[in-house]
Amino acid sequence: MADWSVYWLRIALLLYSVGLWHALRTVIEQRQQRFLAALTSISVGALLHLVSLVIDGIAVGGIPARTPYQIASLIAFLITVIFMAVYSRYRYESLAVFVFPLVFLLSFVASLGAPLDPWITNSVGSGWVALHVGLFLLGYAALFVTCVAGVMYLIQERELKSKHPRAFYYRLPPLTKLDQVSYQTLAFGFVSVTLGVIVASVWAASQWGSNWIVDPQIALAFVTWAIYLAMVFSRVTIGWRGRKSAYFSIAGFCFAALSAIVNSGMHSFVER
Amino acid sequence: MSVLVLGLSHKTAPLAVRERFALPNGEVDAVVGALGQLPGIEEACILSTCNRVEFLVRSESDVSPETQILDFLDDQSLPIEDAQPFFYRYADREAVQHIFRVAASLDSMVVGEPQILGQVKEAYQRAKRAGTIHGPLDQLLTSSFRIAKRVRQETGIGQMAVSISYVAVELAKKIFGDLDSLSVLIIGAGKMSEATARHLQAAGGNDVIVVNRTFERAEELARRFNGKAAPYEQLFELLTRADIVISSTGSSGYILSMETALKLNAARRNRPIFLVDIAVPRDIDPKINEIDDMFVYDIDDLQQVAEANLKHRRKEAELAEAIVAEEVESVMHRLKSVEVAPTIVSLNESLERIRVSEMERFRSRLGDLSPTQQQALDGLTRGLINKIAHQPIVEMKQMADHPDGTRFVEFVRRAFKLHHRSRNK
Repeated sequence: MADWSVYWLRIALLLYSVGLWHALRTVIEQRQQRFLAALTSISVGALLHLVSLVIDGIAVGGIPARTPYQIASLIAFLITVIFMAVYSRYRYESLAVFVFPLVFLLSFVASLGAPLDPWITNSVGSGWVALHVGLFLLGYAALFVTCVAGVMYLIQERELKSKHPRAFYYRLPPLTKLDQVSYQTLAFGFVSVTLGVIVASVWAASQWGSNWIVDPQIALAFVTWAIYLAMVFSRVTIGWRGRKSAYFSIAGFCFAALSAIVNSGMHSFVER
Repeated sequence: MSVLVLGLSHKTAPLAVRERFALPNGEVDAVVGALGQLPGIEEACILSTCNRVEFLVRSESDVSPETQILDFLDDQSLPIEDAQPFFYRYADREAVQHIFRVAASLDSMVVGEPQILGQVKEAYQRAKRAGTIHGPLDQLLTSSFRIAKRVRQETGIGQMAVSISYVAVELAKKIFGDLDSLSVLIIGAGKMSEATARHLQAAGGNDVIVVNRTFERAEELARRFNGKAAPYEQLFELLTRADIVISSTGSSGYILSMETALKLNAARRNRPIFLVDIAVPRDIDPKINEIDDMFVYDIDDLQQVAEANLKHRRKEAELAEAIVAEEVESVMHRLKSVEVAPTIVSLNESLERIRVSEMERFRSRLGDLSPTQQQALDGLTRGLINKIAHQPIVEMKQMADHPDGTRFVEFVRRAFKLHHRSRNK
């Protein structure tokens, strides 16, 4: 990572930690006013984060997603952006408590960013790769929010079924709304991932013919995509919602995360 | 200045005493007017609700106005004799704290209930109309409104429902979010279901449908809600469309069994439904709660949630107490500073008056004075009064923050025979 990029990222990280702190206090103490401080810190942090990403992008001449550090940084940023989008619509502070720790962690890992040799190969057309990687990461970030909404749904549902309201009952948003957030982020994530897959397929087909399909990493990625397809299908066609969908989205995200980790390097066929 | 609160509330007096003391709304205006006319009483306000009767006065006299007020109440043919042991009295700082706590609903029977603030505001308006509030008491009461608002905003004291029908509304919100486009089905035309449905409607739930074994009673209730009545035979069909169901029939067995509920769930395609069963014996099989997306609450469950909420409120009340304490501190400080400034002014004015009149008196004996001599004499007398006033003024300024400040200011006023610049009687 470019030097300046890391500096900006570290300042952003500092602001994220301030935001995380305020967000935790907002939800634990249930003081709405405090969230403004959290939101401000996070927004300014995200802005500096963007500066860091742009500097890095200029340095590598494309989307800065070529080392694990860069990817962590990019995902953290995208999750923040998606959180902001969901928050501006639903105003649920408690979502922050689940989302921000991951943003913080990813930015923290990224800010350690000892420069690594990026995997730049001549055979990889940077425009296509940028689009492919960007769409996938955006999709994963959205699906993370889906998963978080699913977890919150399950907790709130248990509170309501138990009839003994405890701490969570007072702090979590209404069930139906959580389901709605989950559905909308799923739809958004699914579209991104699908476009990512199409872009990658078209481009790979033009480069390597069809032998890349048998690559085990690619197979895994397709299975992930298929799982998301099934999730969307189960909601739209079968009419699943609520608890079943929540479990499904958590399982789906875990699998997707696994596939992302396995796939985070350059695909094996590229060197062939 | 001294502020006194004399009153009785649900905490000190049994209902039998309170009800005999409660002033009808029509009488409060006259009574507060008369109270304000008593000698030595500068300002007065009366708060009379079903849980408390309080007399709030500000006086400038040295004798506590307590006996005076009690005599006055006796004259109003209120049962003072029996009630006296139940009275509480708060003076100055404690009085201020008490007013703030009452307005912030910290002294209420149900802590955090919102009506009390409206009642305090009404008492203030009445006193204002009667012309018995025009000074520090006015400030004190308006501060109490602001503090009550602050407490409500910064703590969760009024957030969670503590009555059963409100709990049902709150739970509906926790399931559905906003209640705007939800339909409510009432089964059985009981009193309880009416109250609950009314709260739901107030919270945004519209589209009320009533079913009852006797169709006429269903129609009667539906009319009151601007809703529709439907024959009992359509129950299942109605259940597939409803979001919130309130059931309170007199049926001896379940009207909604597990078996029907499973069929219902399939027909509803897993849309969540909130079933409130307030009938005793119960109308809805409690086991239905185990089905996904079906939430069944009976009367005991609602009670349980209400109790948990009350516990939650009490915790928030501790926070509210801290806010009140902070505000009492700042208001007391402000009240004292307000008193110090006019006292300094009237001290200076009074001494200057003495100087001028004494000069007049001795003018003839001094004979003709040259302008220089005249100037020297003025300087001498001015210097004298400034020297005399200097120490009391310095002390007063310092004492403004001190707990005994009020007493000291009062002492200076008496020592120099300063009169209050209060309203013209």
